[in-house]
Amino acid sequence: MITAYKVFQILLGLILSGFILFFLLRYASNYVMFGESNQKFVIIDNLRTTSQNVYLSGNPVIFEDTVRFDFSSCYPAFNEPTEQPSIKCRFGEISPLVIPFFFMLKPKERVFVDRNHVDYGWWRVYFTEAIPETHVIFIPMDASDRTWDLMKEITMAFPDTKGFNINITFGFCDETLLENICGGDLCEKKGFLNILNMHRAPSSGCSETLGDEYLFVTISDSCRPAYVSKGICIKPVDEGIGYVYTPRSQDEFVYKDVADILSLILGGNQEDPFGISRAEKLYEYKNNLFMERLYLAARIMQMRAHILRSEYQSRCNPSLNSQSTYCVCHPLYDNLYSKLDDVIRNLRNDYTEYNEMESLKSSLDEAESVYQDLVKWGCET
Amino acid sequence: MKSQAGLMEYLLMTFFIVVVIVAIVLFLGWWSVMEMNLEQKKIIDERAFFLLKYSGNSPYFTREGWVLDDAKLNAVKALGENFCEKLRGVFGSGWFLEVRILDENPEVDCTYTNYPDCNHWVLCEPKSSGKEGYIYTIPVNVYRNVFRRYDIAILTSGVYA
Repeated sequence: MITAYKVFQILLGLILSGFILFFLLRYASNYVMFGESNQKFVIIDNLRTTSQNVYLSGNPVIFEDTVRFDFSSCYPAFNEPTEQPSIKCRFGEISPLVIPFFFMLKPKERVFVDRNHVDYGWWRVYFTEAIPETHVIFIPMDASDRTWDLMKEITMAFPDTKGFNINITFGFCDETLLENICGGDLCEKKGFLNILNMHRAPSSGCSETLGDEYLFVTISDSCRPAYVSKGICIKPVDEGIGYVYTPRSQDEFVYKDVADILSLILGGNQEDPFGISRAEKLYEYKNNLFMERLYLAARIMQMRAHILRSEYQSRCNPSLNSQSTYCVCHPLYDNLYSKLDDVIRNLRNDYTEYNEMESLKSSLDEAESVYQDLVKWGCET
Repeated sequence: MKSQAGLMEYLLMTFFIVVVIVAIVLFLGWWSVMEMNLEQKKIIDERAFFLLKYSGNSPYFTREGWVLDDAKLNAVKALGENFCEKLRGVFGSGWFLEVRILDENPEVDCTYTNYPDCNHWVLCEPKSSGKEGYIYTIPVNVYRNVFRRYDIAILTSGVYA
């Protein structure tokens, strides 16, 4: 006959073993999830480190670790000016992201990491870009110089993958896909630039339906919101400035340099739960970051111009040698000082408006022109 | 009586097991905290080393890689502490930079008024001392704009935790 003590033993044993089993299962499942998140963190952190190394060395590399998981939710985010930018993903955030870094991560794909730059003459801003295997397809609706120059600029903004086993190629679409145009092969950066220099013909549109690895860039004066069903549509208005539209009806972006266009091409139309597209996020990141860093650079270069102007002016003796470096350079530095003042004033605006972007572009061009004068006269070597 | 003694034995054993489990949990917690502290120090150290390389190549201070521009250094110095706060938006909090030209002259801090007759710049000097710092030093060139020559200097960059 079973005693009360035996019943107590059985019950306590059941409770204890149930508790231990529950704890172990819970811990094991948490660990699996935590382990995966942890690995994702490590991979994104490695990507950040790789981008920093590429930024400093200028040597491109292929980053392989992204093949292990889906990182398509990750994007670079600009935080408030007092905080540094970061990489935000669905599984967490990696901070800080010190260097400007544009990337496009597709599920389980390798990326090519390279350095590029935007040159303002008096300041060159470097950035790194990480792009998976991609085909950039242009659809130029006219054959004007402006359109062809823009295509060259966009091509230049992508990395040259020749000699690597990951390819970023370029082509056209004129009703059908025109890809094998470099001696019967796919065109990489340099080959395609040669094609652009040699051939010129407008496209009559594109009816091809292709996969996600194809990025379509339409250039047309007719571009308007939702004009294209894939890729982006660029409407150049003036030299180096215009509008970019996406298939989303609400999107209209102003561009003032090729990095704006690159951010919109790489971003894509994938939306987060709040309806904000990746292109919008990347464009916002690019503009906030560049504006912040351009402002700092303009302030430093303006003060530098002021310091050098004062020093050169005090050392200039026109009666002795009116063509000396000191005498020739100090008025030019004075000029640069005032042009950079315009740049700084324009940088205080919010760049969602075409007019504001146009005035910034104009002041940047003027400052660049003055800087070229300084180089021409030997003041800047 | 026998079953009562067995019950007590069982309760004691259960209590002992719970104590061991709690001790293990506390030990693992302490271990994790120690690991995290070490990891944090490693991260700050890596950041300090990266910022040294980044400062030596940043167009804010250089004319090209590892060649600093003395007029840019003076400009940042002249722009003052408020500007440093803005620069920390790029380089992060606790960051500072020091450049000393290796000449035979005594150390003269560069200011807005004594340029270019000076040889020492400290940018974004940390306000409070006594904090743990991670500092790296490397030889660089400094271009002296007015004299139009390159001098050898020591670049020191670091972060305070």
